[in-house]
Amino acid sequence: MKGTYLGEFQEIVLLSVLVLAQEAYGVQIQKEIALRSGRTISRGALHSALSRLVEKGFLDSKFGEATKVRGGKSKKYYEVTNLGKSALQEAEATRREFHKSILDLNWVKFGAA
Amino acid sequence: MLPEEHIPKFHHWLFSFLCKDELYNELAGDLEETFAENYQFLGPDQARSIYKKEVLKMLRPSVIRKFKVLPKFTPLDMFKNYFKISIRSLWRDKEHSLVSIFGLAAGVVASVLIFQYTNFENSYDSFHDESTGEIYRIGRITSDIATGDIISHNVANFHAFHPAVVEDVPEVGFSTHLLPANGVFTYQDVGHNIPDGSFTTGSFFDVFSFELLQGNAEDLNQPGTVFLSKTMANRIFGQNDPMGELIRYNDNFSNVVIELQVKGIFEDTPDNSHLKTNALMPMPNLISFADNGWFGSLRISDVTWRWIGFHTYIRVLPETDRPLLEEKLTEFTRKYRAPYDASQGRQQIAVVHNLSEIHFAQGFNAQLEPSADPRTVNMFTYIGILIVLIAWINFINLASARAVKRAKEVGIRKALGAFKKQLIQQFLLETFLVNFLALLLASGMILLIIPSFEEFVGAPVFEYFWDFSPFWTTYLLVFGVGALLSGLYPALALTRFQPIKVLRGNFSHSTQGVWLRKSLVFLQFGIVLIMLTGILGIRSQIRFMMNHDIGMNIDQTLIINAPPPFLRDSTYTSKLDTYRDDLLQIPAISGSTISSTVPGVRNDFGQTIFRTDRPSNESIFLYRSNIDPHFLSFFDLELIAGRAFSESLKGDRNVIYINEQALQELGFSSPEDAIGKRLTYPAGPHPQIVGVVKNFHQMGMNYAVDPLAMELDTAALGTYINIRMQTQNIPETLKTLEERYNSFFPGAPFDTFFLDQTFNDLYESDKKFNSVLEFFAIVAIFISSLGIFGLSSFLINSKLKEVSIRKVLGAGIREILKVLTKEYVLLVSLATLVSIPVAYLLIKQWLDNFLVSVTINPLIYVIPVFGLVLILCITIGGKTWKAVRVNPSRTLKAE
Repeated sequence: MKGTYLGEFQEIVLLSVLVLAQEAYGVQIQKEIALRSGRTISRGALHSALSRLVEKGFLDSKFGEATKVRGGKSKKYYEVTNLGKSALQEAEATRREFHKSILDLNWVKFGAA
Repeated sequence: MLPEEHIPKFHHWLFSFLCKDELYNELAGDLEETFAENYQFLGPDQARSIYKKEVLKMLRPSVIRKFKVLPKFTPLDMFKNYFKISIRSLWRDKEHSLVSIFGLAAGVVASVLIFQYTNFENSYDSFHDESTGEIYRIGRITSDIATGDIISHNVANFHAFHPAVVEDVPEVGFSTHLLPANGVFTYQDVGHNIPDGSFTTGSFFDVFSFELLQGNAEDLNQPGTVFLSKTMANRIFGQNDPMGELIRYNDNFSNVVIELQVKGIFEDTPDNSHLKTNALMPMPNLISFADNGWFGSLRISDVTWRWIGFHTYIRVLPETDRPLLEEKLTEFTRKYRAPYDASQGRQQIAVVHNLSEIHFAQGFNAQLEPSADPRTVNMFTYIGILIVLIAWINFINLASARAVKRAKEVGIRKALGAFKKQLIQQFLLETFLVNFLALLLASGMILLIIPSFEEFVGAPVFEYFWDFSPFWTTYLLVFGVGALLSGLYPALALTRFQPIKVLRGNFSHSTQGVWLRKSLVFLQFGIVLIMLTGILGIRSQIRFMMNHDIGMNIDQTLIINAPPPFLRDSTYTSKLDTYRDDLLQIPAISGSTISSTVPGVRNDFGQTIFRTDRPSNESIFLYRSNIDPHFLSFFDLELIAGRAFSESLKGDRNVIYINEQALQELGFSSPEDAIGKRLTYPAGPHPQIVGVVKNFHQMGMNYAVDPLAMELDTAALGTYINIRMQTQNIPETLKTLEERYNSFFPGAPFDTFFLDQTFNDLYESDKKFNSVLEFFAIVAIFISSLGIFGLSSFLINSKLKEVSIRKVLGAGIREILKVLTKEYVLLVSLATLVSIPVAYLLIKQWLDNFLVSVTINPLIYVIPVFGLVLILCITIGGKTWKAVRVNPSRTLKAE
């Protein structure tokens, strides 16, 4: 398993999988990201991120139903694992820590005046 | 229509073909779903383009399936293995690999440089299209009708040849002639030197394939037109259109001044053309001047079969028989020349030179460009081949010596079932690798060397680098043949090992190929010896020429360039004389004279003249110079008839001195016979010969003495002020000279040089030849030393055990040295025996090129042997010494 480091884009993918809950498969994730972050990403880029997250153990996947609009090909649903959730929390915590220090600094700087 | 029928078919197929099976359902499904949605909301076109882009972006390594193009075990896998092993073995034996690669690279560099130079020389005039008939220059040989002695070889012909030759000789398709001109073009008061102008005819472009960019060749037959080369047009007119502009031409050596209109532009003549010209002017212009007084009262029609100097070229009809052509041309010449030749007792033979031969035509005078010596060019080719050979020999020696180290590998490969063919392939691959690395190294070095090499040989021989097919042919040939030849022997030697012997461990060092190796080393020694001897021989000849008595005293002579013409006025001549007399007041100065030429500077000024008393005789080309009355005594010239110039004759254009050569060519029976006779100059006086001077070598020992006339014409005089000065306190004397000069000629540059310096420059080309040879000899020696170094380290290692046993048995240092060096002593002696006669013959042949040649000191055959021994001591000394001092218990324990 590779390191547990979480890239920014990977974090967004993880979050969107969480948001979509039961409906998290390729097209939906793509749309969700476009909707929330305003950036269009290619399915290829998404594939890379997804497969890397699966490799790291942050995501689980299982095949779902096939639909006609997909030319009879089955979907693949993704689900965030506990490891993935904790990685998210960790990233969030790290970030919060940083922000706090910045605020403190500013506080000292401006509050003292 | 359903959306899925609009899916771009190719991209759809491409993706299904390339995508991994396990990802296909997910990814293709997603893509199609997106497509369907886009189709609905954005329309078919946009959906399709998005789909295409998405597919292409999807094609990444993690998605594309792994194709099994090749079966599991292929020859390619074996090659991979060979490659890996090759790199490893090169890496393991770094010293050895470096020696091999450097040796080969040095050989490639040297040979490519040489071959590029010889290719360039051989490419002369090859750019003309001769498919519609070959192009010849018509030269002629003049000989004495009674004795058959040849009087002169000329490349230039009579004025009348063109256009009569086209009508009289049916084989000739086109003809043209040209007269080189040297002058100044003036356009809008700005002068431009034209060193390579020519007067010629419109048929110039029919005969040659020079490209006429603008204009009509016919115009060149009209007086008052001029065709310029592209570069010359650019220089004179810059960006403006030159066509139709008017320029004035002033000839440097005659009274020709003409107004010309630019009516044509031609492509620059290439560097590998013997005919280089940058301005073509119409012959009729020149003729009209010549017709008015150049030949006294004679008209052009009178002298047309006597006026020489016209370079005449013809383009013959296809399939013309050359001997027959020469015969017909000779007949043609004799028909018209009969009256003149009969009276002089001479006969003419026409000789033609094909374009490809002109650059190498030796022994003909008045060539447009000095011809190259084919022997020199051939010699360089041989040197190039020798160097390549040495490099290959080295490589073969090193590789086969190293073969023993690889014996175990070969044994195991054989035991595991390798075919002989496979082993050969393996070792050939290895040689190709080494050759390739050497080639890369060599290419880098060549690119670095090109500028200085071109400067050195004085020709842009690499200008045609990319489209010069001989270059690539040689380059690839050297590489391909070299790799194959040098790889094949070691490969064969290696594969001959018996696996059972090798693997049992009692493999003794191979005696196979010892004979070959020895003869190759012998060959290398021989080549090195011959080159060293050659260098010494050439050096002694150059030293000999530089010290040879040239018939004039040029010691301690300083030359001041006289003020340029535009600073001269009517009082200039008298001023110059006063300055000269004034100089003698300076104690350090013992003499001075004023002249128009000085030794070592080529005198180009000459004219076609007649003997006044024999106007029907053939004209000769007489070089003219102007001197003052002190010239003869200043340079210690020997007067063999007549009286010395006296001050009273000064300025008298009617008296001249001639040298012995002129005496002979003019056909006087004795020096005394010439005294008092007169010569007919074109457009000039009829001066009387008052003295004959012994020949002196104005241009050193490399040039034959030209017929020369010296005149006391002070008006045209004054190009050089010659000063003999003491060598003490030169800076001080120079300072005094400059002060006086400046007070006499304010504003004129004080420009000086020493005569012996200029004179020594005359041997520049020989010195250059020597330094080229030296350079390549050093390369050859370097390569050989590398090889011997590599070889000896191997040989000595293989003898260590023998040395140890001998030591144990009580051998002294001397015996051991004998064992270790016996082979080299034998090879050096053999090489000496063979190389001396070869070197002797080569040097003798080379010396034959010179007008005077040195008597070779036999020492030059001995010194190179000592040189070789010294090189050997340096290259093998260290290893040998180590072997001598080896501790027997160590080497013997190892087994």
